[in-house]
Amino acid sequence: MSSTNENTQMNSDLFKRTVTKAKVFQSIFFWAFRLATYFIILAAGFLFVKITYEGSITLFKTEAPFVNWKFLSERPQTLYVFEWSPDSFSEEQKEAVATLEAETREAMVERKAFYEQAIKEAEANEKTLRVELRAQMKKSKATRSKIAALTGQDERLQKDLEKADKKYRKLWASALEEVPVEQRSQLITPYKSDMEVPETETWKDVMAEDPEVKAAYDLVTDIKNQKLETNALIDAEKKRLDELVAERIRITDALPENLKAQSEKELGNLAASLAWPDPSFLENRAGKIAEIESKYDEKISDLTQKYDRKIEAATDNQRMLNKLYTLKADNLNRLENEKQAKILKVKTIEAGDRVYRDVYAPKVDAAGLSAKGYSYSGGGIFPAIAGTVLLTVGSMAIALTLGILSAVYLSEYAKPGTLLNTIRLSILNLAGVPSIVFGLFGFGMFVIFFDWNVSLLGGCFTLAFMVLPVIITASEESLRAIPQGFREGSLALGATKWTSIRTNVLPYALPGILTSSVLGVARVAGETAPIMFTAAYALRDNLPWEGLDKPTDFFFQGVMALPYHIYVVSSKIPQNEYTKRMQYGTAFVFLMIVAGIALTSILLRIRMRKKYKW
Amino acid sequence: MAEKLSQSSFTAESIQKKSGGFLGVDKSTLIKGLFGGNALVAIIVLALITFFLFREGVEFFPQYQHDMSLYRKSGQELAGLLKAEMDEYNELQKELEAVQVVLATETLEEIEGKEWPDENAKWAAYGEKTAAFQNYAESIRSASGPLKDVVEKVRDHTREMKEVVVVQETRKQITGIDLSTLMDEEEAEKLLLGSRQQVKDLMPEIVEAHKAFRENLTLVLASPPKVETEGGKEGLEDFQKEAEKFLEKIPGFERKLEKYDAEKPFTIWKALGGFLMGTEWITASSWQDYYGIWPLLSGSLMVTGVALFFAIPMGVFAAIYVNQIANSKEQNFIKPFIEFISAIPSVVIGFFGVVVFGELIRVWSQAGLEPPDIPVIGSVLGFFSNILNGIALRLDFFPISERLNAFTAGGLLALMAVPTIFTLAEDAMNNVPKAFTEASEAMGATRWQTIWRIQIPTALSGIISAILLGLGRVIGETMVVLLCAGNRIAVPEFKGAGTVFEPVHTMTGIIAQEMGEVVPESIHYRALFCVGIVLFFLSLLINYVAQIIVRRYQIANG
Amino acid sequence: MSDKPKTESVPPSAPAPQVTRDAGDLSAAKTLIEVKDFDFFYGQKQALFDINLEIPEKLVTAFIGPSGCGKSTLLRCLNRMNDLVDVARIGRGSINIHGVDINSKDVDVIELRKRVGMVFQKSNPFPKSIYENITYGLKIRGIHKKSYLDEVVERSLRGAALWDEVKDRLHDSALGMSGGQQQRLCIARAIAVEPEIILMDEPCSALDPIATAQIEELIDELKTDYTIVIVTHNMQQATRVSDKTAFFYLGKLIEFDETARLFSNPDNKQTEDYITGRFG
Repeated sequence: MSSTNENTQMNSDLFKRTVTKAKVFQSIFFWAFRLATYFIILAAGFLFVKITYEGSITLFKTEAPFVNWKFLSERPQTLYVFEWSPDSFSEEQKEAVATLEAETREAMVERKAFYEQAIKEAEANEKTLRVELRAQMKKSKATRSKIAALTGQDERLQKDLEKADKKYRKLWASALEEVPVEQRSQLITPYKSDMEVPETETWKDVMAEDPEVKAAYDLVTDIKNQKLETNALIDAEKKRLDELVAERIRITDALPENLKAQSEKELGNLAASLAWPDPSFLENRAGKIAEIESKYDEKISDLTQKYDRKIEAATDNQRMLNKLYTLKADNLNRLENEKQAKILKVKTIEAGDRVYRDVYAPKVDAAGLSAKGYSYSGGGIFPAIAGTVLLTVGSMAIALTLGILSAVYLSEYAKPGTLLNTIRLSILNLAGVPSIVFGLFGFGMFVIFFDWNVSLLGGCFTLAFMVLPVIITASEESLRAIPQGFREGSLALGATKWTSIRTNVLPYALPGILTSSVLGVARVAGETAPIMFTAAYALRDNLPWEGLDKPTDFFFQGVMALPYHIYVVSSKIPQNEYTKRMQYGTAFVFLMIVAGIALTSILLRIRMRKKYKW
Repeated sequence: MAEKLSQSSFTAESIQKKSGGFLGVDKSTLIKGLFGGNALVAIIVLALITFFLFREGVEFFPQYQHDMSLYRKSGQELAGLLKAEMDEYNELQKELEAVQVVLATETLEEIEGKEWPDENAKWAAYGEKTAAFQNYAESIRSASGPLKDVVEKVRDHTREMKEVVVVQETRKQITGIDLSTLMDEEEAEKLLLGSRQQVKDLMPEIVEAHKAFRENLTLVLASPPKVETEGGKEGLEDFQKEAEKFLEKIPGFERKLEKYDAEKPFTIWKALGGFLMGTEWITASSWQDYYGIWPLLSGSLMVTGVALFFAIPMGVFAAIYVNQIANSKEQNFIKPFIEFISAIPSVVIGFFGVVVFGELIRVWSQAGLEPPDIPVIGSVLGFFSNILNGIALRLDFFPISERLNAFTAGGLLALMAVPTIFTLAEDAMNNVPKAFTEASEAMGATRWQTIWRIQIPTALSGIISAILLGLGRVIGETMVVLLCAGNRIAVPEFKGAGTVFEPVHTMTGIIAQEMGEVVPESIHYRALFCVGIVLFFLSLLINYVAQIIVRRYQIANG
Repeated sequence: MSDKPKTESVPPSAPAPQVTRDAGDLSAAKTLIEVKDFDFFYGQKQALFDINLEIPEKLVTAFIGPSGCGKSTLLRCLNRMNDLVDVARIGRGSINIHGVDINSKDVDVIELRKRVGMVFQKSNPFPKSIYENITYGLKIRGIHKKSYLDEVVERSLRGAALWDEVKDRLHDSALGMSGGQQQRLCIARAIAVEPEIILMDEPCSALDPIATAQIEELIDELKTDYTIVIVTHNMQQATRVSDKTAFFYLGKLIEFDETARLFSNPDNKQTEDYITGRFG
């Protein structure tokens, strides 16, 4: 016993914990890894929580029924917002606003009746109309490309004008450069955003006080007028183009009462108006621009002289600038306060463009108000949801058919060889092709080559091809998971290969195939790039099942889709408190749908693994 | 029952193949054919993609050749050379103007600081001090005088002539227009020839003016004015340096002018080179359209670089953590969660970038991150935001003005690449035989030593291919870059780490943005398909390399 | 050792094998590993029941018994490899090496494993070269001096009787060796770091008779320097290589004695049944 004790004494620090370099490294690295892992989770979690939180404000309400059904069931509308504060409102105006909504309702009823009548008439003339419509459509396609070519020219003209505009800006900037640097920014800000000097009271005060500022202001106004003059010239021509477009739209939209009588005449007009721009116009424009430019050159030298003198009075200038700055700050504060006050009392209208123009606009004008429009920000997103569902169902139907058949071949029939290798290689490579390339391919094949136009069918096929590798791989995996014994048992009883596959393999593999394919559904529903130019419309008033001439039209129509809608509302319209609700709401609904599908797939897969173990 | 069975007694015939089915082909062959045909769908789709990309894209090169030929034939190209030179000179003048402002400010300050008998004396002194510089600036401005006039003349004329031809050609393609009212090819050629000729006639004048310009400039630069203020001196020195650099370039311009030959044909190879090497992507321009892929390719690469810079460490670290270090509870939570991240649609991530992340980056660059006002979380976040703000203050390319830039897009793409890298890398590590780990641990290696020396080297090929597939995912991603990369079409100017905060445009982004707006079968439309072709083959290449690596370096499990 | 049988297969009812070893003076050996009242669980299932065992220094101790009797479990407890199993836990008792409780909180498992090497049932060389396999253990201890590493490689390969076979291809992959060579490489890898104890978990079960003979010879040579604990379910092997033998049955230690005595004159009925091949 004593010897054991001695041993213990001797060896008590035999396996003692020591701090070695390796261990320090270990803990440093482990912490780095842990941090990286949780950082990923935090980042994704933040994204998820932020969108959920902001989106919930749009989608849920505090009172029953707690869900904002309107957002889910209506079409997108433009949101019009009056900004007014009651104290600056006359009695008359108040009354006008009050009657506005009542009258609107009446007008809406009228409008509805009108459209119903028109539809009835159209249905009566359906056959003739359809033939003619086809012809018109064909022609309109050609016209479209013409217009596009002309628009290109128009843009060039516009660019010239912008260049002139730039020159004025430079003029103004050079004037500014004469004043000390630190004050310059305060002077620049009011002019930078636009050519105009704000016509507020304070500015008028300043101008009255200081003739130099007045002179500069006059100059700018002068230049502005010059610009307007040239613009008018372009506008006149642009207007003709606009009319052309409008007419064509009217033809294709087939407002029935116009169609028959006008179609031929309008086509004539079309050809005639395409003669623009004639060479004389080009010449005219070149002359005009040269004239304007020479004028500017004069002005530049004028100004240079003027500001040579001005720099002599720079001290005065500084004093003035200080004053200006204080005034501007005060003014801004006041404006900000006013704006705050106004926002509290904002009244909103939700209406589509056409309805607003026909029904509201005259009354709003009459009331001496002005309303700002925010596209897509009113109403709901129902057409987008419907479109996404249709696209998903359609493409999954195609992809499952192709995918399962091909997986059966790969797992049951194919023998190793060149063909099988090539197929596998293709599947692998197909999985790596970027979705935008699928979109490009779909556009080239379905939209252009098959001439399906932007259509539901084109989008379905594009998406189906994209998701094919996922489906094939998933199906094959499920088929391979069926024990060989199932097949052999059946074959041993004298069944043919097909019979044993049909009765003893597919029924057991099918749940697995479908479960694994749910992930493909999430991918299809979530992709934007492939449908951007094959199937998606930014805005379409009709729901997919409305206004169809014949059943096949259902497949050859463009649809709205949630992902594309998110792209449009997040990139094409400005961000402010009215549009924000719509943006977050749409993103939230979409995220919920896709995340829901993905979660289902993950959960189902876990369940499947537990349930089916052969 | 027994009787029935006995009918099919076992004879030689009964086990022979029965003929029948359809057209002599038996049924099972038919069924097999049906399945086999469908299996080919992957090959067919791949072939179709290739076919349609080329079908729409390849026509670009002849069209581009034609377009550039017109540019050359009309003499506009020459005008373009001169225009480029003048533009550069204008830039130079702007710099001089800036120096002028600095000088004026400083001189004013100096004068204000002294006592003057009266205002007149003061301003006289001011005039005296700045006069020399004013003269200098005026001479610089007027140095290019004669050249400027002649350049403008050539520029406007050639452009107009080419435009006439282009308009006529465009209208020829429109159906329903009386062709007789349009110019025929001969006439067009004549017009171009005339234009070209006029340029040629002007050549001596141009050369003369150019020479005068060079001489004037040399003369002016030889005698810089005396400047007394500090900033002015510095500015003037810088300007002189810049101007001398420009002066050195002038002989180059002259040589180009001499060498220029409008009759030389613009070959199809040049069109190909112009696409693959071109550094300008300019469309719907009032001067001339260029379709060079570099601005897009460089943007794509930059965004990808940023994304992988974050995604590789995060993805691989997380894979190591989950596979080796985390306990099973953590594993069961982290793995599905990261898998779940890959299901977030890219457009939602892009939207998040536009409304939240981009703004965060901008605020951070101004060192103004503020944590939310929540009791505990707020103070924790406050700690981190203080650190980040501190970093932002030390970076000299901050603050940035563009909230949407390569960094914004790259940061978000990293989030998308992480699940791919994580899942595949984790798989690779899972496949490392347990025996290796056990042997290492039994020798007294620490966990980390086992991971570093055994686990990672063994799984390396898997990890690398995971990274490559992550790269493939990132480079082909569209919506995030379209929404968040800033969409400025230019080869980013390299300026250290700050480069990644520049807005860029990408190959995927340009297709998505412009495809919807172009006229089908126009040159612009075809150029976009060409970008698609590049993208397609790039992704195939990445995929292929990933597969090779996995196959070749797979460990043999002894 | 030359009269060793060439085959290992035991006829079902063969008589107890003859002990060929010279027992020597075993009682004088010092106790190195002491297992006291040891209970061990996998989750709810108890794998070891009240084990008491004293393993002597610089001798070969064999654990025998039918499969699932807990012999491998005990072996893996000796260098705490069971730590890698999530559900494993110790119920009661202790294992002392040099009188130190290796399961105590103060024990550094890394240090422990550095001193208690292990050779596994299935050879598991790393997918690296032979040289790197041997030097792995040294490198993780931070030893990088080339001359020293070379020396150790030669010494341990010689120690494992492998040097002459592989000296010309030290930098080839270890996965290209034969099964027996791989197992000897694993032993060489273990002794390269000079542990005190080498645990061997059925090191020959996957090998052919010739390779087995080589390994057994090696074990015999190694015991002059190392304390070896070997698990085997091959009784001939136990008699050939071990000095002391422990017989386990259903998680319990049935009998522990000098090999010669245990095989020739077992105290316990179960032991006798097992070694005469009546069950197991």
